[in-house]
Amino acid sequence: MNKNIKRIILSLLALVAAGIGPNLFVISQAGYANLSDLAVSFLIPSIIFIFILIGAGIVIDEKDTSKQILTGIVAGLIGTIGLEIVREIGFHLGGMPGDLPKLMGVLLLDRFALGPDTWSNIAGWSYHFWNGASFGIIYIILIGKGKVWYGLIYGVLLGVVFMVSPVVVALGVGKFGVDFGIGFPITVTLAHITFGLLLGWYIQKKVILIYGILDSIKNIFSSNKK
Amino acid sequence: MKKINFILTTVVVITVLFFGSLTNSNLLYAHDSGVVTIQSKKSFDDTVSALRQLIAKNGMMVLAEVNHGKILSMTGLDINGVALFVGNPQVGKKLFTANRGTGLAVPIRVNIYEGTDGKTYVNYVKPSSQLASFDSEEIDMIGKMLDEKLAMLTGMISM
Repeated sequence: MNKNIKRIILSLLALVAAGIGPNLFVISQAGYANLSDLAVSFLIPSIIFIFILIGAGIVIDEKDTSKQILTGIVAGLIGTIGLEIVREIGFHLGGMPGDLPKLMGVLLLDRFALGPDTWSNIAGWSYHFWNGASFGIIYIILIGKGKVWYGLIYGVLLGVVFMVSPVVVALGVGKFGVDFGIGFPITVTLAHITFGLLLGWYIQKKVILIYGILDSIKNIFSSNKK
Repeated sequence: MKKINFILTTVVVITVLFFGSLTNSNLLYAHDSGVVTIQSKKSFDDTVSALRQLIAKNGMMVLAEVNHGKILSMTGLDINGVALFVGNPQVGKKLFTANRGTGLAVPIRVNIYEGTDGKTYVNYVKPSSQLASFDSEEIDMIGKMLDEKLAMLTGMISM
């Protein structure tokens, strides 16, 4: 099989699997399903699937794609550390209506009424970091090496999408947090800018494959012409 | 000018008296709604654990609980507050047999909280008040029995 096609298939599968995690929170907050049920049916399988893809890449001699996915995960985790620092500061200054990783944790373990505990906090933080890793995978697959400022734009976009998502509506603060205060959009935007910059910087430094999936698709057509 | 001032003052006084009477009637309504508040002699944690044990020892069960304190900690607010939903399957069976709408009133919510004065309080709405709207003698009797049971349970933590 053409190396490009193998890479495209692996990348597309990783892209779909990476898109699952972050969307589950949105789906649950929109009232369509319980996050704990979604986690069992979709989140855990999608995480396992991504690691299977990484393994498959090594087996079918697509090591670069495997490394690329892994780099996306690491970059996303690093970006989330930065995001969390800004978010925690913003939360303690009153710029956020609630502690999102803790909320994710109680929803994941279906114990909202009992409030957070150590295990729910671990679950919530892990999920939040996995979301960061997922966005790292999506970025690296779509963009490839890119430039640091691409990461910045990507981060801002993620922040904007978050601020109009059902998550924010369910928190009762209105889109862009208009019913909460200016601290909300400022915290969210700064946190996502930090995420994007760290993500873009790390990928710029570490990435093996320069091009993203779109470039690979273009390559197929150009090689066919030749 | 004096006449205008007099009219304005009269309007303000009447308005204040009117809204004042409304507020007062709400307050009376709150009393009539059957809210019972008891001050506990124990700390917050000890009150919660004592109530749990008393409930279990007296033929009732904590069917669910809402930890307001922990939930609100996610918003950055630091308070102590737990609501226990107390019931008994046999009593529930009788109530639901009499009227399936009684799920509005049972399980009974017993709220334990630490006031701003640092003291621990327990409050609940009398089951008889909550069940009164069902217009059934049998339900009323169960409501009164639950009133007595709750008064006994909460009385023990105020001693």
